[in-house]
Amino acid sequence: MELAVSVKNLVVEYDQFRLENVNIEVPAGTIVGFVGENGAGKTTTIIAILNLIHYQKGEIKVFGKEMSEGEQEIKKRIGVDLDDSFFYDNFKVKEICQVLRQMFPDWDQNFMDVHLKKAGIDPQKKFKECSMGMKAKLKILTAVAHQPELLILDEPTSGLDPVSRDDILELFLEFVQDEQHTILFSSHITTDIEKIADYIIFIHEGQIELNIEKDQLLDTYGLLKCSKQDAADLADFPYEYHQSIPYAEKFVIKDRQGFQKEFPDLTVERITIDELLLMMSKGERA
Amino acid sequence: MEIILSAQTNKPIYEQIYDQIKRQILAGTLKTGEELPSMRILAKDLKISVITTKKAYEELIRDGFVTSIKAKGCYVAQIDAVFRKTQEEQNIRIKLQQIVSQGRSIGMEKKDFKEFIDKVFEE
Repeated sequence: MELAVSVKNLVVEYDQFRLENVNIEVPAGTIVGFVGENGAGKTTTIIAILNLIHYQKGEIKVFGKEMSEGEQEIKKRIGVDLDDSFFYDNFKVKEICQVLRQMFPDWDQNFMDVHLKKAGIDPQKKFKECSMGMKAKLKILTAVAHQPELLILDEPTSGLDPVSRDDILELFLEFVQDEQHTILFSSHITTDIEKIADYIIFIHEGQIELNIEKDQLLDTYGLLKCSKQDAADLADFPYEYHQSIPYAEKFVIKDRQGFQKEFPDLTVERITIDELLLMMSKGERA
Repeated sequence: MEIILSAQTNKPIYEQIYDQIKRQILAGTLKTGEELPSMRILAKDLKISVITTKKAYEELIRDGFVTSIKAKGCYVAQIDAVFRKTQEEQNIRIKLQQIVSQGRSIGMEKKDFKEFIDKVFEE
């Protein structure tokens, strides 16, 4: 499998924070969702991939090459949306496009015009006058308009209403109509990831907890809530995470169907990404 | 083609797609030779991941409902009468299994089922 991004044994250290041996693989042609609570290390990992911070250890390759083998060439092929847009507040949307057009030879103004219209963004509007939804869309559109093969997006949908988020997901799915196109995006709005991601990477306290095909997670993992007595009867059945909550016990089970066969009287439900994240941070690992 | 996905059921999304396309092929609403949307377009339209649509299509191809022509696309396969009949029989078998396990849970035996079936035929 061809990899758009590979991160091996990445270690990043600063005062209060440490990324510990992070390993990530983003197969070309897929959408990979990157989830974790605030401060878990999503942004740090992303800016390390983009070679924007110094890292202590590890090997990072984009399109099979390290940044030292030609950062400019590699970055031309990446569309980026980070928290800060670096757009001047007083620039009109039209002027932002003109500047970017100078920077990127493959800039597709036609794409921009079509999508600005679709998003209801007036090119004459100043950036500071745009709504939050418009700003978010504009950032993503400018990331796509220079025709990259890889999009790396940090929280592209945060702070947006469901309608705007849906528009953005549509844009992502349009982008991957080309089989070589790849998206790595972080989000704590996990329903977005649940919808469109092919793979999900969970990060917790600077470490990768789980890297899994989304369908496998949703189709096989389960959440069990039961009494203390029932929990004692489970004996040796393997679980991933456990948490005691008021009046009950909660377990994350890897093989929902297998569990159900063995314990037909207990109900084990599908698990959502949100619940799994909660169990990772509030529960304890088996 | 119609596909209605539900997040509430326990059934995986790829299986929901598989079942609904299969049903429409067996019912003849999707006709032999008809082109199906590409996996990527279907994923986009349904707002789901490509891996999911890929899995559904792979199983439809494996089970002979769909043929894939390289670099062209996926088409509804020729379904003959015998194949249709075996598929229906398979469905009936699955329903029967459910009925039998339901009956067993209240202590019914083989002969009880036979009596039931005889009665149904006499009606």
